[in-house]
Amino acid sequence: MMPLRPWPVLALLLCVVASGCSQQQTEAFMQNIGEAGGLEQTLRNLREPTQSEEIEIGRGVTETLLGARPLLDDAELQRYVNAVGLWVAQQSERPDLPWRFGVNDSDHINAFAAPGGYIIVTRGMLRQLRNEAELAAVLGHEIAHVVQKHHLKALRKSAVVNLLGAGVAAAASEGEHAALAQKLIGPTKTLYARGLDKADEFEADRMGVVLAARAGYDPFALPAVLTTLAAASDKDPFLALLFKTHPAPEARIERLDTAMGARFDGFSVASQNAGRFEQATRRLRVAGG
Amino acid sequence: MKRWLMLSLMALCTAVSAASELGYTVRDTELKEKPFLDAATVSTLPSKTAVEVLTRRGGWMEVRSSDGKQRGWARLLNVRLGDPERRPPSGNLLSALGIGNRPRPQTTATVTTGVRGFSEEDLQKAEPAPEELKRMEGYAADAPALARFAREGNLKPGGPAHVAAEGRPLETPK
Repeated sequence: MMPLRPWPVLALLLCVVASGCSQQQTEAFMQNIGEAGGLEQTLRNLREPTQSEEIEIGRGVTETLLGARPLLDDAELQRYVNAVGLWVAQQSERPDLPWRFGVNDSDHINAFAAPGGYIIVTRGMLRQLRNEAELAAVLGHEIAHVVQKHHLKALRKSAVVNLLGAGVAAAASEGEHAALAQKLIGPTKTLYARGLDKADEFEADRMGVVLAARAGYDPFALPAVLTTLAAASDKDPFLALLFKTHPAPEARIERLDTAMGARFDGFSVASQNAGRFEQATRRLRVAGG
Repeated sequence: MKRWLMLSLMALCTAVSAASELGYTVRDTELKEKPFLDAATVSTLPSKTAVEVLTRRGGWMEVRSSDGKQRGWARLLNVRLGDPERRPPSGNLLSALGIGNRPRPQTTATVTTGVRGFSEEDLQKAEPAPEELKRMEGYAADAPALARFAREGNLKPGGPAHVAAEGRPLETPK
């Protein structure tokens, strides 16, 4: 390995830190320094994407997720899920993101978060839930991923996204956005097929419980959903992707049991809103719905 | 005739699965008269007692011990579904019929062909769908509608701080 000459590297580093470089200069620098391994990593992490860049990245990721399955054609249900989700998200540490929620037309049981506040839940997941508090719990878990930027951090480990992140404006033109979405296809597929670190999932469970409770919902709704999932066969094909990308539901329940203890007992009388949930999801319970 | 047979089979399946949540206690568990912490304790089930789950309400489950002698409300986190001797349940008739009493597609090879999936394979085949993103962005609730939604649902904001893995409260998420 070539010994590292410190001065040119330091000069370029300062240049990047001062944000005086054009994107082209930064990219050229990244290529030059590519051999330097650890230093490249350090440099990547110098600058976090701004919130508007994060949102553009999230939109690109969401386009691919919606490419795998489109939205369910049920405007009333979509608005309902958006109301529950936005209400929970407003109790989070990032209430001002443009939170958007969608139910996709998939029988599989799953839910996904993308950077910037884009959250998709499958029709199959909705059919497993018993009331609005359980929906708030599932959405709360996904909202926590966005609040903690779990997916953004994972995507930034892929160099292409990081460089793109530096050049994406809030009001990206159609062309710029399409180019970004194209470059995000690969990293999106890799990340959402592999999943996040287990620690991120456990953290999202703990935070999801709290966010749902802050929104006035029963904090035990998340353990209740996980109890339902734990009773499913581990070979159930409708749960294959969720089980591959998350810790086992039993392990998640054990962790929540420890974290929650008796701390949330006083909140367990909070709203379930089963009637409103049944009404909004009624079309999912008819044959072929 | 065929239709009648199918309908009665479906009715049977529903009846079986609706009554099929079986579980066990994971620690000594107080059974309460009502699903509240301060309700009277009617009895205590030892750890690993097999129970039938009759109803669920939030963080509580109404359970009956398998010998039928004890019945009451247990904290949800004190009960796990399934068989204490064989975890997790795998591919038996009940799980093939669905989780709890929720309707869901059947998973036998003959019916999976029509499934609208989001499997790993479906994800790998995906192409960006910008028009779907625009649709999704059009469903958001505005502030007055959201306030009404919360009021009608009796949702009062407030509540707890985030917690660390071991249960310590956190002021801001780490």
